[in-house]
Amino acid sequence: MEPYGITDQPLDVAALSAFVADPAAGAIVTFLGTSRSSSADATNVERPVETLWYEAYGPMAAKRLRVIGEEARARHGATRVACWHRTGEVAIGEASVAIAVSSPHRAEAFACCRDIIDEIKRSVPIWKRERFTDGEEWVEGYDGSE
Amino acid sequence: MRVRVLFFAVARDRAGVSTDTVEIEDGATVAALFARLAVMHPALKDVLPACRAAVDEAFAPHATQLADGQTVAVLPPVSGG
Repeated sequence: MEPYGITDQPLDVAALSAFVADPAAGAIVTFLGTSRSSSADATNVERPVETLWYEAYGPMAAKRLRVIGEEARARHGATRVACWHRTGEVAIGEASVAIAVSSPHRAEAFACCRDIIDEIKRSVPIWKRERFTDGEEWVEGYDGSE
Repeated sequence: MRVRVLFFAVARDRAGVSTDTVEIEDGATVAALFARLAVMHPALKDVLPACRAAVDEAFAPHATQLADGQTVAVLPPVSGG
C-alpha cells in the first residue's frame, strides 16, 4: 500500500499498522483523529454536530503528508511511518485521520506520531465543515501565523 | 501573463467559483494577485487576509513572483486532522 494519501473511503488503521511493522521496531504507535459529536462556537458554547465533512486540495495535501511524515521519521529516528486523511462526509465517531509509526523504542514512536498530527493541523490543506441542527459552517483553523 | 487560481472551502463559497483564470502583469506577486482577486470577487475581500497561497502545490509567501502558466491556490486557515 501507499504509506501516505487522501481518500474518500473509511480509514483502515490495521493496514497502516501492518505497513509500518518491522523486525527492527520494538514499538508501533497508532493515532486516530475521530469526528466529535459537538463543537464549541465562537462564544464557547458546545453545539451538537450532525455530520462532518472534509475538503482537501488533494494533490498538495498528499504531498504535505509525505513531507511531514518523512521529516518527522528522520528527526525522531523512527523506522516507518504511514499516514492517511479522509475527505467527504465522515460519520460521528469515525476516523478522519490515521497515523502509524514504528520505531526501535516507544518514546520515539510516541513523539514522532504527536509531531505528525500537530503539523498536519498546521500545514495540510484540508478543511472541515460541520453541519448543526440549525445550519453549517467551515471550521476556522490555522492560518500559518505564529 | 495568465495564471490559474483555485479556491477552497470558505474562499470558494465567497468567490462563487472553484477555479478562475486571471490575466495579470508579468512578474506580479502573490500579493498583487490577491489584491486583484479582491476586486474581481468583492465577497472574498474579508477572508483573503487570513488565506495562505500555494504556487504549483507548495506554500508560497505573498512576496513570491508568479510566472505565466502557474497555478495559485487560495488556502483559508486549514482545519484538518
